[in-house]
Amino acid sequence: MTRRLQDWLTQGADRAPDSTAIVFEGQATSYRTLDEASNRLARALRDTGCARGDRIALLLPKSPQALIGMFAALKADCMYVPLDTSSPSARLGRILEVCEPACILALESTAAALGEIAPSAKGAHIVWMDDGAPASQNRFRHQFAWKDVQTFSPARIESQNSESDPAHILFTSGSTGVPKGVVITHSNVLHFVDWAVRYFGIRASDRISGHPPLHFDLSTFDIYGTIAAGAQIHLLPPELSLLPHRLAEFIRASELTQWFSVPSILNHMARHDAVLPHDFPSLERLLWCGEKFPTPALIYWMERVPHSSFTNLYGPTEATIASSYYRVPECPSDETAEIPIGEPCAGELLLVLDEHLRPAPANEIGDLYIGGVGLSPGYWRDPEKTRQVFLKNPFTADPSSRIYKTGDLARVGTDGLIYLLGRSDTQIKSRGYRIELGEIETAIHTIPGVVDAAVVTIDTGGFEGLAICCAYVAAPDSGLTPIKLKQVLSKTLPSYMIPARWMKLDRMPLNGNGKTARPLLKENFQDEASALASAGRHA
Amino acid sequence: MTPQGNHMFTDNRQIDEMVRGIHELLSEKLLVEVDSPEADLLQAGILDSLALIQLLVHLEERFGVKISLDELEVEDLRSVVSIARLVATLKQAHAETGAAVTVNG
Repeated sequence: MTRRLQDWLTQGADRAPDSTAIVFEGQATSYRTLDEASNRLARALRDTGCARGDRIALLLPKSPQALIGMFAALKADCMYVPLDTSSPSARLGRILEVCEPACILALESTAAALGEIAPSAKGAHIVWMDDGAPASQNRFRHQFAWKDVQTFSPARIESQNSESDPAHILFTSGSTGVPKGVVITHSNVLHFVDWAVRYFGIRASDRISGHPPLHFDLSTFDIYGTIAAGAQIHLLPPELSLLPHRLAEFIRASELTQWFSVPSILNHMARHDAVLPHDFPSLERLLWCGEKFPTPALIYWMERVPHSSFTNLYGPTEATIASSYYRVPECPSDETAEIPIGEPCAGELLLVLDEHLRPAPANEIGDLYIGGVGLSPGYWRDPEKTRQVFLKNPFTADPSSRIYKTGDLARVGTDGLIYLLGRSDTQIKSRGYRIELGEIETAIHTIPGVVDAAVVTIDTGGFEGLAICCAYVAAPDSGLTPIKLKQVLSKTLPSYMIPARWMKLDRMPLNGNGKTARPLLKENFQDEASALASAGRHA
Repeated sequence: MTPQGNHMFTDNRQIDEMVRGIHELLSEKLLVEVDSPEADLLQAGILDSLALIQLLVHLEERFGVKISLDELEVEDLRSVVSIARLVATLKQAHAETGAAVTVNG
C-alpha cells in the first residue's frame, strides 16, 4: 500500500480529532483543525491550477499556518519549499528563480518580503494565510485570502503521489554562491520517522519541541515524528534562543518530554548555567544533531537532568534528518572523552572509505559515505552537482544503489562505532547552520571596491562553534569599512553567514604557491579572539 | 520586566542620549549599522547570542550598569529604543539605591 507523509495526519485526525497537534504562543491547534484546514487549502491550490509535482513556496515564519501549508502542499501532490523569512530578498529571489513555485503562501507579516521577491516568481499565485490581503499588496493579480480558502470543502482529498515522489526541497548553502536545493521524498522521511518513533518510543502523550527553523531539516523530524505518534509539537519563537534562561523556562512550562536542537543552543544554556539541578522533570530524551556537542557541556546536562536519555544524531540534509545515532550510555567522567556519531539508523549505511573507495581499516581516517533509505534523489535541477557527490555503490551489482559523499572525515573505532573528525572541504557548521565559505567569498568579491578577500573560521572555544572571519583588501578611496561591507552583505546573505570578525589588509598574505595564506590569517584572527573571550567571561 | 512600564522614571532627553550611545556602540564595537532606533534587531537576526554577550559587556563599560542575562526578557532587546529604556531604568534604580543593581534588583 502506498504511504504518504500526510497519511499520518489523517490517521491522527480519525483517531483523536480533538487532541492537540500544535502549541504556539499559547494557542492550541487540534488534529481536526490541522487536517481540515490543509484539506481546504489543498483544494484551493488545485483550484488555482497547482498540479502534481508543482512547488509551493512557504514564505511563512514558524507557525501553525506554516504546518497547514506543508500538509496542504502534500495533499495537493505538490512539494513545499520552506523559505527562511529572515534571509535577504536577493537570496530568496535566487531560490525562487530556481524552484519556480506555482504558488507562494504568505502572511501579512511577510508581505514586505513578498513584495521584494515577487519579480523572481512571476506568475505564481499568492495565498495569504491571514484573514485578508493587505491593501498595499493588491498588485498581485492572482491572490487568495484565507477567507477565500475557507469556502473550499474540508473533506478528505484524494492524492496521486506515491512514496517515491518528492515531498519538499530544502535549500542549503552552495559553494559557488547559489543555494543548492536538496530534494527529499516521502519515502526518505517515512523511513527515518518510522525508525525514530520505534527507537525512541514516541507516543501520543509526548510533548515535543519545535526549535529549529523550518528550512532546517531537523524540523522535519520534529513535525512528522510528532504527527506520526499523535503527539504535540511546541513551536518555539526564534528569538527565545538568545536567552538561555527563557529557553529553560519554556521547557519547564511546556512540560516537554523531548528536546531536539543544535549543540550551540545546549552549550549556550550550559555556559550561562540556565539548567537547575533535576530540572525539567518531564524530559525523557534530549537529542542533538548538526555539529559536535562539546563534552564538558554534555557532562553539565547529564548531571543536571539525570532522568533523561541523551542521543547524538548525525546526518547531512542529503541523507534526510539523520543517518546514525549514539545514545550516550552514562555521563562521561572525562571532559576530553570523544562522543561518536555511533551506528547507522535502520535501513541506512555508513561507510568510511579510502580514496579508492575501499573500506578504511579500523581507526584510519577516511571519507564518510552514506547509503540506504535516506538518500535524496539529488539536487533540484542540477544533475552535474548530483553526479559529483551521489555515486554508484561500488559494493553491489544493483545499478540503482547509490552512496553519497558527505565531505566529512571519519574513522571506525575498534568498538565498531563511527567517530567524526572534520571536513575535507571548506563547508563549515556555525551555530548548527551548514555554510559553504565559498558562498560568502563569492558574495564579498562582488562588492565594488573589494580587491581581494578571504574567509576563514576560528574556533571560539566551543561556545558559538566556529566564528566566521573575513580579511579583505579594499581599493584606495573605496572607503570600505567592515560596517559598510556587512551592510552590503546583509542584502545578499542571511545573518548567520555574515562574518563576525574583520581585518583590513594592504595586501593579502600569500604562501609559497601564490595562494592565500589562510593559516596565517586564522592565526591573526585567533589572537584577536583570545582578547575578546576574556572580556566576555565577566558578562 | 517591561521597560515600557518604567520609562516614566526617565526623561526623554536621557533616553535620546542613550539611544545615540547605543547606536554608536553597536556600530563601533559590534560593527552593526541599525536603520532606526525602532528597527527590529531580533527579526533580522542582527543580535545573535554572541553579539548579545558582547553588547552586555559594552553596555556595562559605557553606562556602568550590570545587566544579567538571566533576567532579560526578549522584548528588552527588540530595538535600540527598548535597550535604551532598559539601561535608563537600571541607571535610575542605581541612582536611587546608591548600590549596584541588576534588572528587577
